[in-house]
Amino acid sequence: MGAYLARRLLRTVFVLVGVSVLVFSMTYLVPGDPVLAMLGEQVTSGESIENVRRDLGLDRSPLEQYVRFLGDAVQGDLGRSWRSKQPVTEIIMEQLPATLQLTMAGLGFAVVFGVTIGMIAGVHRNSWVDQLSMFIALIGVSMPAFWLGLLLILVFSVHLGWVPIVGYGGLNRLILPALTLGLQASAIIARIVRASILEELRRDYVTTARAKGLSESRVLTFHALRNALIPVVTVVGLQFGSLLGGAVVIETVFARQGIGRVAVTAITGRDFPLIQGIVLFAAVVYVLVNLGVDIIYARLNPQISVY
Amino acid sequence: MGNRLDASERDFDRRQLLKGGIALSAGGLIAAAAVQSDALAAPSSGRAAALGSLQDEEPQQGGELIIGYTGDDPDSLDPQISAWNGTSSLANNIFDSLILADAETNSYHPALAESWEINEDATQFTFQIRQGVTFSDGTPLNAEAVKFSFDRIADPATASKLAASLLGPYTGSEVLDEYTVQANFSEPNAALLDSLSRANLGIVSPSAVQEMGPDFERNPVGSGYFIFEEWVANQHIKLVRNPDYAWASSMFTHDGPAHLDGLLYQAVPDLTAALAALDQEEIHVLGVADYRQLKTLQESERYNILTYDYRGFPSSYLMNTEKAPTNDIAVRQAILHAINPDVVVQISFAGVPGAASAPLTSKSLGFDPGVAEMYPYDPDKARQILDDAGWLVGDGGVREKDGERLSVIFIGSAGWEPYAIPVQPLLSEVGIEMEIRILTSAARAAANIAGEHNLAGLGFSSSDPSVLTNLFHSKNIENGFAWSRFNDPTLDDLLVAAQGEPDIDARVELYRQIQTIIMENALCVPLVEGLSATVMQPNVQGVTLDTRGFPYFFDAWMKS
Repeated sequence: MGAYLARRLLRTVFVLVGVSVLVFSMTYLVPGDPVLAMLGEQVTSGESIENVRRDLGLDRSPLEQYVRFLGDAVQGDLGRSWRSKQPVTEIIMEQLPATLQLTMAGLGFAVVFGVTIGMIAGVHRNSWVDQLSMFIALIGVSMPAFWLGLLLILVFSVHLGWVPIVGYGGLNRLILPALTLGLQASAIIARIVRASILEELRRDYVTTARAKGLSESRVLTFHALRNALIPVVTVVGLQFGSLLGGAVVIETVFARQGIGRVAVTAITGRDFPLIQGIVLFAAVVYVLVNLGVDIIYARLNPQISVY
Repeated sequence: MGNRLDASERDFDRRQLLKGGIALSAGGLIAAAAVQSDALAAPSSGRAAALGSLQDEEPQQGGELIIGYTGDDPDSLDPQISAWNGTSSLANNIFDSLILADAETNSYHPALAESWEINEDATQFTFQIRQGVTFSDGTPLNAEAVKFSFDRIADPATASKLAASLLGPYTGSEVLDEYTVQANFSEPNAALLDSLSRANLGIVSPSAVQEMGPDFERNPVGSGYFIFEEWVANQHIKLVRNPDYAWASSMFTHDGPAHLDGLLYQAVPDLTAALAALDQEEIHVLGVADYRQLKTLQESERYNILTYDYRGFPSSYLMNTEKAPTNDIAVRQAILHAINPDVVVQISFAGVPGAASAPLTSKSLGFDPGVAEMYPYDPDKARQILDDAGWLVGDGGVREKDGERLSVIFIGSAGWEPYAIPVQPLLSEVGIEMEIRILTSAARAAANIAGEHNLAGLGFSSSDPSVLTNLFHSKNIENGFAWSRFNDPTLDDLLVAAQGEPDIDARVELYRQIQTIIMENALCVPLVEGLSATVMQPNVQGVTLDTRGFPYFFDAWMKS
């Protein structure tokens, strides 16, 4: 376990360094002069463009700039937004709670809904219940979030008038965005749970449990489900990342604050330090969540440690 | 689309102007599909096509007006720094201007300045400042404060993105006595009165700026009828009534504090969601610049809609006079005759905005009907001009001369597609091939400045005709917007003279001559005049628009 953990941590560091290189080189890969972009196309004299370039350190060699960028980033200093001049870290921290709330709610919904559907489908394999559930899951996976979000607004806010459309705060403003965000993940989770349940139900220990005379529901909940949920942990970890990404669309449609909104504004405004900060932050979160998942996984399934 | 806090989403801010027209969001497409295709006459400028006129009723006090804003949050709430439309719109309420301009009559009204004097060549402006005005932090507003604001705008360290260019060639101010200030300019600056009416040249509290430093951008303090309370990023910006306000401009209908308790600018980034929120009365006011959506709203007859027709340079093509084949004036003139702006307006914008016909829109000071009639849509004439110039129809119907195909390159940023695509078949009709290149706005500006285009898409709204200097003076070829790259001393001199002419009639005559030269040399193809709209619930009364189409909420009230 210790050696596994050490290897895993080392790999994480490499991934993070790779991410930082990619994020940093973004400034060079995007067409157009970042300084001109930042000046907002107010075409100023060549001299002031050079001044800005110097102020931002963009006149130094790429390597020098990267080392400075990484050194600052490690200390939590991601620079200042070109647009609002606020520290990037401050902007992210200010908007993080709203995104976390949305992501956790979406994930919670996805897990509850996905596991339930997947379990029902798995138990009633090949019945109409199974087929209906999997059909719903297919629709869920296929529906783009912005479209689903607008549809939910139309039904629940405009036609039924149950929940308000705009704003952040309060449970009634969280339901629709969380539903939109979680639906796709729940569909994926449902399919995994179904497959996993089917596999577990075929195993010897289930047969043994049944032979002992345990009720089918006990066999399911105390034996099969526990093991069936192990792969789900992995998927949930992966989904957490895509949920963060999904927040970009959802936050815009539902007029919530959050990292996603900041990302959109930063991209349209070519606010490079902010884009870099957000991408780096999201990557770190993603990598750490998956590190956590791997550690949990190792605990759940001791066989992992040997690898 | 590039939405802002307010009605005019495509307005004066240069970075936005460059983006040009309409980019339908995915949501916009869904709703647009439901729109009828029959044309609707472009609504007239100015006051509301009011549903149930409540003009004569006694205004009711109180209530918080919720104004939805689509798109991004402002970069800064400091109008002297930001060029964001939303900031300009919001600043109307927080800051007072020296003078105000009536959008209806194009006349100026005293505001913080009780009176003003301009010297003969418009380089010296002397203002009498109203006494007894205080900023909301208690600082008295006097001549020093006015000087402080002007100095701050002109200071390069402020990095003003718009206000500095509005202020013009400012050299400094002299405080003549506590309430008299004289602003000096190195060049004639007749456009200053118009600029001063904009919130970007509003007067900021010197003590607040000095105390807060950069934080002032997020905590603006002025002397306006509303006071900034809080800004929750990506959520809302809240203003409350200034209870001490007693210095309203004579342009408004009442004096004393505003009728409303406060304003809540609510972020609703997605236009479709914003329209749903309007439908559910979660918001009272929404700026809409998407023409198809606007048409649906007009047809619903549920709302009070204030429309604002853009002033300044319409959305147009600037024709490059240096790059072949548009270096041939015959080609440029033929293009003008071959393009029918009505087609663009009908096909792309459901007939809502007006078709343009001159370098200044029909609502602008200096618009000249004679100029507007110089190039009627006439494909036969276009063909004739090209035949006469030796451009003869070759393979595939594209004309040729000396082995060169008559092929023109259009360069625009995202949002310009609707202005370019309907034109392609019109040009092809007379044997001109048009290649459309849509670039990111930074790449496009670089390409246009380098002169890689034959046709460059650009619109430049401004309540003053001096905007033509930005677009046609040869000094702006290398690092500005003079993308027709036309270098003519006569035109340059006229542009400079018009900018310094304080007499309105003489100015109008100069701009007539300027536009005549522009069109005689076929430097641009005017396409769409453009408009923006402020859509309001029917119980919202008393809202007026400034000369840029931004709302004033001072006289506004809500009927319960």
